Amino acid sequence: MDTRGNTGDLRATPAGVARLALALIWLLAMPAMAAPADETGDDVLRGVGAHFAWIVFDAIEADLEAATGRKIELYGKNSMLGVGCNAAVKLARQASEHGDTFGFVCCPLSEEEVEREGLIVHPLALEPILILVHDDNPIDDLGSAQVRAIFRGEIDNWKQVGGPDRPIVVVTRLHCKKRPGHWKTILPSPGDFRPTRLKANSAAAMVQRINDFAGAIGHTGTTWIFQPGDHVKALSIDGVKPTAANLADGSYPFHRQLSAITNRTPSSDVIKLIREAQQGPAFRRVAREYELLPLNPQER
Amino acid sequence: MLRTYRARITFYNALLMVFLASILGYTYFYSRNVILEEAEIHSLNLSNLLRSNIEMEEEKLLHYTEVVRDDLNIQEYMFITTEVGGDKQALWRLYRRGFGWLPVANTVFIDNDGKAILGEEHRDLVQAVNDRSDGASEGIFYHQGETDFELVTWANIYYQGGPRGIVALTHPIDREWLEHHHFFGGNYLLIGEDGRISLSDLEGAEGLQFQPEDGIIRIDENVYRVRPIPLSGEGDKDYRLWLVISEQELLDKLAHHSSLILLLLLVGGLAVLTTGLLSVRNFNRPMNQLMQITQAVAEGKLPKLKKSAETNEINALVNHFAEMLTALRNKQAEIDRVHRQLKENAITDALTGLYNRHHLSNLFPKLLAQVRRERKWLCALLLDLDHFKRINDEHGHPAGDRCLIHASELLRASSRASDYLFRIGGEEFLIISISDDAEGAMILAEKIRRSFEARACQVGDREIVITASIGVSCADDGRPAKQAMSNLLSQADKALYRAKALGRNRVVNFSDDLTQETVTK
Repeated sequence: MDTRGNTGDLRATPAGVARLALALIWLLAMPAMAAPADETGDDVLRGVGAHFAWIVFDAIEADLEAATGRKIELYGKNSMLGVGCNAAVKLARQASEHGDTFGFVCCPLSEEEVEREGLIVHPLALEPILILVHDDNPIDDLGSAQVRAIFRGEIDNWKQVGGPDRPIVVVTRLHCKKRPGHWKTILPSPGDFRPTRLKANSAAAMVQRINDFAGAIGHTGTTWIFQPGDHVKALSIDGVKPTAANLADGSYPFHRQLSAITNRTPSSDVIKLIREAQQGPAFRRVAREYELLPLNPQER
Repeated sequence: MLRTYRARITFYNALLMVFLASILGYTYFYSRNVILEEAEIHSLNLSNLLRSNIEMEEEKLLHYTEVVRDDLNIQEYMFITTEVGGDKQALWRLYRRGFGWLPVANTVFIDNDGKAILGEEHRDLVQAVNDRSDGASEGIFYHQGETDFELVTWANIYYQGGPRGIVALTHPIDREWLEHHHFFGGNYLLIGEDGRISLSDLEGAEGLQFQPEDGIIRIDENVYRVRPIPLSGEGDKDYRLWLVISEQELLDKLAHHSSLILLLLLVGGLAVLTTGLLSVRNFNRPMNQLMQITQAVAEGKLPKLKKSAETNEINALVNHFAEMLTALRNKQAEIDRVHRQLKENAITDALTGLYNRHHLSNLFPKLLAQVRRERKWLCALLLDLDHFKRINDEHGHPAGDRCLIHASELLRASSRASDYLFRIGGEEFLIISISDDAEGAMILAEKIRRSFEARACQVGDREIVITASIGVSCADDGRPAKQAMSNLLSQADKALYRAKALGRNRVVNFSDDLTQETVTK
């Protein structure tokens, strides 16, 4: 799989950081802002969430605005500055009749959390989890068992899987640990991972570490946009590439679920928006671009 | 000693000059000591200032080291590199990406076994860090690297509760560094190592022996004061960095001060000397003038003394003295006038103004000596007014006095300037004339007789005709003056008597022969 196909500039730029900072401020001030927004008839639909879901919503923003007739504001690029899955839950919970908000998450929520927060989960798609290595690494394919053994630390040298005599540097980003996180398709709990590993705090840091260490192995979603200078590549697992089709037939083992979340009484516009996100033509186009497997059966 | 005021003033001025010189000399030596003490204090302050700046540099580099040490990514990469055997270059790339901007010369990462993870080429530095890192979490020391003397800071890197290695950063103590601190602190700096000057911003110093004695080193016959600047990690006797202060520069300052003081001494001395000379001159000139004047007065002179317009005390004294001399001169002139009057009165007749008989006694010896010397005749013309008693009786004594005066006027008018005129009795006059021969005397006598005959005495509106009988005697028999005068007058008297006897109004010349006489009328 060519992971460098998408060259859109979605890296953290000063303007982007500024927008994220504004979003954070806005998020923190949300309770105070809600009432005046209602009184003034705020026409904006605001969505906050994890980067990988943000990629989807951002790509179809124009279609969403057309479907709802309202302006859409989205925050979550690079999941930086605290804008991620937790923020998505918080914003979804705070939605009101006159202050329409929603969230989007990059991993499934537990039933307990859904119940506790009073949420409705609107699944969008399954996203393949790429197993990344440095592109100097001659290994192009590993078995899923080997991958798990590597992440557990049972295999610590590439020569053990037919590669060069080079220590394996495991890089992980085990976010949303209290949820059925996307990484849990690799290993179910943090304690299962090799202790002597690099812990990336963002998808960008994950890619950077793999760039730095020739013996590194890590993971990220297919919606991550790699840069031309990146020296990483995605492995096939058990000879299966990380595609939507291989997810659909169950041959590719690592994936996560991208979802939108709302409170229990979402507005009609929010419902329209989510329906458009789940079934609209723009979403289908984006899904194809990023090898996403839509979770609405009608759209498969 | 010092009897005169001039000497005293000179002495006082000399004392003043000595006092001035003493003050300036004391000032010079005091300034010299102050400069030397200040130089010591200055060097101490400079060294403290440099030490303070160097400490700031040390702290800054240590802070950089701490920033690297505290970076979570660095810690993680160190951990992975040391524990997993990850690619060392990954750590290097991370360091370059995150801290490549740090102004440091060298960077080394060392694992827990003391082996270099990065910076293997700096073996000496790695060894030095290993030698000094026992038991401490961070530190500062100085190290002589392969090319430069270096400031080294290091810190242990921890991750997941355990040490993962050491990061060490260096900053070169090179010429640029020395020049920077030279600019900041002035003077010079040097690095002394193994008894030699390994680095210095003092020209020509590098490579020379460095063995300071009593804080002094000598380079090319120049003396420099040196003061150690302790560096972190040094022992008490292992100073490497030294502050250098040129003694010549201090001496230049002293020379500048001494020149100024000497100039002040010279100017002050000249001022005192000039003041003294002016004082002496101002005092001496009027004093000398007064001395000369008083000396002249003591000798009976009364010289003129010009008064001065100045009003100081001595000039006032001189002016008073001049006024006193003027008064004395006036008094002396009055005395002289009175004296001359008295003298004139003693030898002249009060009524006619002619010489009296008394003066004849004084004058005759001189006249006699003159005619004897000049081989001429001394002639006596004895004149008596004829019948003068009758004038007094007929016209009164005032008229008689008037006619006596008239007679004297006729005598003055008829005689020569060289003739001497006397009134020797009531109406009797004497003319002493020096003549080449007796004939001349006779001519004179006849001239006189005729003048009487020709011009009457005017008394009021009356004219009184007066005639005169004259006896002439011109003889010198070589007798002494007194006898000669008596003889001459006696002969003239005899001739006068003869003229009277012959009927008056005539001239009779006496000859040696008493019987021989010349009578003219």
